[in-house]
Amino acid sequence: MKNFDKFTRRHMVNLLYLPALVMFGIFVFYPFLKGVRLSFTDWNGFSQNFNYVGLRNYTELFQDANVRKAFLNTLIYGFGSTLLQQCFGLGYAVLLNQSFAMRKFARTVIYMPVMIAGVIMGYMTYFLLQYNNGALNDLIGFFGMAPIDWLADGNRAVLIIIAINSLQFVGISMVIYLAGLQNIPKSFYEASDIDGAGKINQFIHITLPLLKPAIITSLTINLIGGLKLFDQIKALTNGGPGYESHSMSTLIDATYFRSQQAGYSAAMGIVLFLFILVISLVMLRSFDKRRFEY
Amino acid sequence: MASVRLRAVEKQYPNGFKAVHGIDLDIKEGEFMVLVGPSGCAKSTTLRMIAGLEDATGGTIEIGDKVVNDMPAKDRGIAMVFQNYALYPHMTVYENMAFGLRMRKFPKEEVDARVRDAAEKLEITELLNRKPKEMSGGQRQRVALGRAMVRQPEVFLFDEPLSNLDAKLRVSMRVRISQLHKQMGSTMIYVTHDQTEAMTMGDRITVLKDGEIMQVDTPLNLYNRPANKFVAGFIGSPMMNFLDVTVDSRDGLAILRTGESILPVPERLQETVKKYAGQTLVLGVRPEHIKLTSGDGEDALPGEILVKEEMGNEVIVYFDYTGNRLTARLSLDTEEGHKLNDTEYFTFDMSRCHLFDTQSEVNIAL
Repeated sequence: MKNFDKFTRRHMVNLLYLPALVMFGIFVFYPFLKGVRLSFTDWNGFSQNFNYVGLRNYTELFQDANVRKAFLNTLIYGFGSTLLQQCFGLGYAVLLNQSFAMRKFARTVIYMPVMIAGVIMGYMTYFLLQYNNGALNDLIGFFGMAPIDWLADGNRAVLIIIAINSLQFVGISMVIYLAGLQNIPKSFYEASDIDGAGKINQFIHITLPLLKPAIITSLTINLIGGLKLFDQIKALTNGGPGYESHSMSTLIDATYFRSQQAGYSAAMGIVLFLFILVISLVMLRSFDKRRFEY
Repeated sequence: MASVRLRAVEKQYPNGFKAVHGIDLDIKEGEFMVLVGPSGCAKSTTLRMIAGLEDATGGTIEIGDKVVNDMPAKDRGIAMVFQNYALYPHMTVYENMAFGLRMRKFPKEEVDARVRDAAEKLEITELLNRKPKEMSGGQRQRVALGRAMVRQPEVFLFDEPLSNLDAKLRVSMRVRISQLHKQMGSTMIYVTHDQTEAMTMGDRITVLKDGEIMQVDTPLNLYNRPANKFVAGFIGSPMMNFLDVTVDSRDGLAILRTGESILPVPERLQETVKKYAGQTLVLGVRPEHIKLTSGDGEDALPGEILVKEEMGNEVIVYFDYTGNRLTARLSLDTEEGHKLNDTEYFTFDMSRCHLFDTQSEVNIAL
């Protein structure tokens, strides 16, 4: 009993994170290993039998035009919505860092979409944009314009998805930037006031460089979110028209369940995982170098 | 360099709190003026109003011959050294010092020349490529000074610049700033709560309390001729002793009674003190004007020694006299042999004493 107590005291910290570790093992690590194994098979997702096919799935996916398109779309979703979210998030944060009436209300309104599920956001947008009875077509009809099938064009669908994803998650960037702005000591602005820097120069030479830790954090979160984009696409276009608006995530889903190529889909999943891992590591490494001591 | 003139300057915050109550102050060209006072006395607020970092809600601020109330900080011809240095952490020392000049579009060669010249004067040339986090507090403070120097401003403003440094560094920086003032001849306004800094650096000192000026004078005059009880107590370490005394008369001369003792009133103060006959005054005596005595005179005050601080060249003795805790600064030879809790007799050098009105706290002995 005495030995047990000693053991418990010494390993208390380990015991505290053990439940999380177990859950991670069961729901993330084990499925990941299963996924890796699957990626080397030709399993169709429901059959009792499958064969190991070596690296065939991987070599095939690099030659697959649909995968190339989905990968390109994934990059566009990732970097496009990240860019929009940084610009608007920073803009909102700078604006909301001033004191004015309704500031808290504005902050809540901008952050509110973050709390909505992506799939709901996708369906809401779908109802706004649908050809028949869509609110937007009703509106342009009111001005005498012909209705437009907004989601029928692949490129336009991709742009709409970027815009909706950015609108939904810009609140996260805003909060990160707002925290970053509030963390910059006022004395830097006072010193630069005396140094003769105007508002624009202060923003360029003081605010932006000192926001680097916040920028890296926001970039990393938004980029990973954008590269994994799934639910809005699923609800809004389901990858269509054709394969035009698929991201890697929705293509993985479609390949697994629609095309019944579980092994091939697992290989896509592994490639996407490795791609996001590399980007995350690069971002986090630069984050470590960007800390400031005030 | 330029003069600075404050006329009825006020600062009232939106919540109604009035921090500065209409102060008037003239700072001459090339003068080193120290603003000193306890926390919350509005010394920093006053400095920040001069800098243009806070708006004055009343009165006028003139720098040189211009009223600057509505002028932005960058156009006032001032440079400021902040308490926390406020060095831009992402810039090197060189970039920090050059920033103000670059913002003012100075030619590259002149920026370089000014930065290197200031760096040489402050002995920080070897630090020019370092970032603030790679330097000690003292080095950062020198860079902050350099950043102000390169601008060659009309007026230097210092907001408690040494309070983050250790005691030894504070002394050396104090000397350095004083030397800089002599070399550059610029007008300098220096805020501190440390009276040693104020006394050693200032040509004149402004003592503030609760947003009002208590006295403006040279360091020696503040020490020897304090205008009121607050200044008398604030300037000097250990602080001046205060003791309630009753004015009486004997043989046509005014005397002061405390406990069983009778203290003579110097001749120069006889007429003034006589006006307070029968009333109570506050007697102010500096610790160095208290001496040990044998105890047989009527002006001897018995005191129980509470604490002795042996400083090497002198001894600070804290003693209790009729419930008043008084402090004496004694030379080593006179103090020798006295033990804690011993009752000894002390006398005051009444020719150096101060007397304060109990109501107005004004020094009536001036």
